[in-house]
Amino acid sequence: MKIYVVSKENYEEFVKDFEAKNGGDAYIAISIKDYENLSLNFAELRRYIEQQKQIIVYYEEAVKPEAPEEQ
Amino acid sequence: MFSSIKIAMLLFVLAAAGGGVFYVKKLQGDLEIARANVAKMEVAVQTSEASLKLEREETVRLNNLNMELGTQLRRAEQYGDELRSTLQKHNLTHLANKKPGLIQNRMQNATDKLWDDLESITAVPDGMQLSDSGTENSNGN
Repeated sequence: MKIYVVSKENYEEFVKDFEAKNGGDAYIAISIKDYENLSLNFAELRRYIEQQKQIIVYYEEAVKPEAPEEQ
Repeated sequence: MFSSIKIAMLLFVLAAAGGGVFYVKKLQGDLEIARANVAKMEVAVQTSEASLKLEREETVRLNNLNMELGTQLRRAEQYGDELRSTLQKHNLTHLANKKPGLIQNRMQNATDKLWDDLESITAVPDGMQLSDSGTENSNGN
């Protein structure tokens, strides 16, 4: 996924480069604030997945049968 | 007269001896039962002690697992905390207006890393099979 950060400073250059690369000038834009929200939501998603994984590991370890003692 | 007293005494002595033998036999039987009960109780005590030992070991093991889980759960919050801190520290809108190229590179790198991390943490671990592998779903269309 390619991200472009565009402001008044580089708008003209962006339009030119974008059209040259993608053959059109239609694109999806997202505000900085929404990008921040999106990244925070993804951070939450990542936290949730990682915590669920750790909880699964915990239960797997908790119910694991005891290793037989060596003679 | 004298011989009947002798006979009576003899009978009394014999009866007393018979009673004594019977009493000793009964005592021996009771003793055997008591010994058997003691042996059973000893086995029960050993079993209880073994259970208690196992329970204590399990408690220690589960406590350690709980602490490890707590550590891992807190560690999972680290990325979000750092991101929130970074976003609070910097005014991204201002920076994007002033230095769009710089912010673009940083956003691109952070986003690429996030995709890689998400791919990594959702990957199937080595040696683990998917639940539907090797079986046929008879309910499928």
